[in-house]
Amino acid sequence: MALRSFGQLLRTNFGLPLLQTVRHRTRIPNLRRPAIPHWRRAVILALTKPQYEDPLKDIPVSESCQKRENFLKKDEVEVNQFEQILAKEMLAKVEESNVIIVFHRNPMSEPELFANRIQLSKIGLYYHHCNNKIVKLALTGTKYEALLQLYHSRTATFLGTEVKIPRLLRMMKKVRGLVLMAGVVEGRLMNVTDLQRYAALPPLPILHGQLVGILHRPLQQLSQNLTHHQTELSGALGRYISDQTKTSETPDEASSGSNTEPEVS
Amino acid sequence: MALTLFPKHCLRTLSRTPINAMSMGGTWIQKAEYKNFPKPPSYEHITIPKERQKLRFLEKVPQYPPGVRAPKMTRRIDLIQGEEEIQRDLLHGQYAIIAKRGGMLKWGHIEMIRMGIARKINTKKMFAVWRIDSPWLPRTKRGQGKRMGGGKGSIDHYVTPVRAERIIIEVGGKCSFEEVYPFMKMIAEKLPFPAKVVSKEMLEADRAEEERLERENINPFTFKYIIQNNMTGCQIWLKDVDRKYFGKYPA
Repeated sequence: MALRSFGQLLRTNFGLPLLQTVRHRTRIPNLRRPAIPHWRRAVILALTKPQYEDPLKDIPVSESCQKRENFLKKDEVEVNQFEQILAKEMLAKVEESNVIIVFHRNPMSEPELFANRIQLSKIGLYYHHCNNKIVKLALTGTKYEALLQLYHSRTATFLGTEVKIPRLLRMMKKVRGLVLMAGVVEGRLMNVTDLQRYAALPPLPILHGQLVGILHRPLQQLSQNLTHHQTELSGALGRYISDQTKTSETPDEASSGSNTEPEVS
Repeated sequence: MALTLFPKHCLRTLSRTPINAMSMGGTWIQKAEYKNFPKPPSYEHITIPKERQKLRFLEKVPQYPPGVRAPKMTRRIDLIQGEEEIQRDLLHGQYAIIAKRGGMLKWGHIEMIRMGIARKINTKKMFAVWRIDSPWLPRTKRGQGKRMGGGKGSIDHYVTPVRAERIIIEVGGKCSFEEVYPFMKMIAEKLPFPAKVVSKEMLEADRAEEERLERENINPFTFKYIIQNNMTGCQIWLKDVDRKYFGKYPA
């Protein structure tokens, strides 16, 4: 039995004694069905509800727009450690290979691709498993960055150390579904026409010989120019002599036929 | 699921990307990518106890010295009201069940927690500890159908009073939050008061958020202010609890 405090002079208890005893029984609050507050309490609770400033108050719509935020966030890509490893491995392989051939890969099944891989392995080109994202990670910032222009659609990359471009071009008829786009041969990026020109080139010793000839030609020309008159003169004299011997020979042969010594006039 | 066809080390996820990124309503193509498995956190600094990783058994009835009669106590609702001020932080700094409102834990609830943990915990990786006492507060009950009078009823059972923000159990070990959350959530939902499963970061974030909300409130009138200044004659209808805790945990 609890006592009510009797310091209150509000006189709501008009007609009743000042001191009253009231029986309370404390109850554990029912959280599942909370007590509805009395009107006066409810008023105070509504009045004292916390209020906060609008966080987007002075920010213009151009900056606060959620769509814009999402669009900008799309560029933030989280770093995938596994992809980083694959990119590193690819770059290592690319740098140690002499030939990199990039094909456009048409939709084909794995057995079909495998058949093509067998064909290309005969010229030392081996398929490298990768996707465009890994290639971009691998080659961005390196000297092979120009190749990235090719990696937009479905691609197939073949790497090798043996340079056999003429055989490769002939093999393109047998290889189905892979379309040759470009290649890096001995550190030089080539498109299909360049590869064809490369294939048509004669072997290196011959080209060396041609180069030597080109280098030698000015000297040759100079010596020719210097000895031009002498050679012309000796040639003319030689021709004259041969003409003269022919004329002296023919009348003697007709008359005697035995006199072989030419007569000098 | 198609993902099982791929080798384990390169689990791929399907993603959709627009062919032309510039046009917002462009066509979409599906492509397989490598799933990002971030590096798992290091648990080297955590030691798991070699024995008794599970919760110890808590007695149903407290043991009194011989010759001492088990005392009866009043209802002691004050032990539930308001907020816990001492046992509200993590001792092991990992995961815990925290009470969001006050209540009385009976031995049945305690057994439920203990068995729940014992079944689900992986003793090689995890351990759990109690952060509450075994039941000590006696609850009396008059026989069913008995009339009023004849003194206070006899002790029927014992309970453990728990205030809001009290840590009930703590779970730790070489495990992540995602591993412990399922079974801890199951236990938390069965408690007689609202309870939450928290990690250290979550708890700190919640507390910081609470402080921020209190700080950034631009309403000059708070319940506390009105009580302390006896505005609108509220002292008439205020409860003693309100004078102490200012309406923070009502009812």
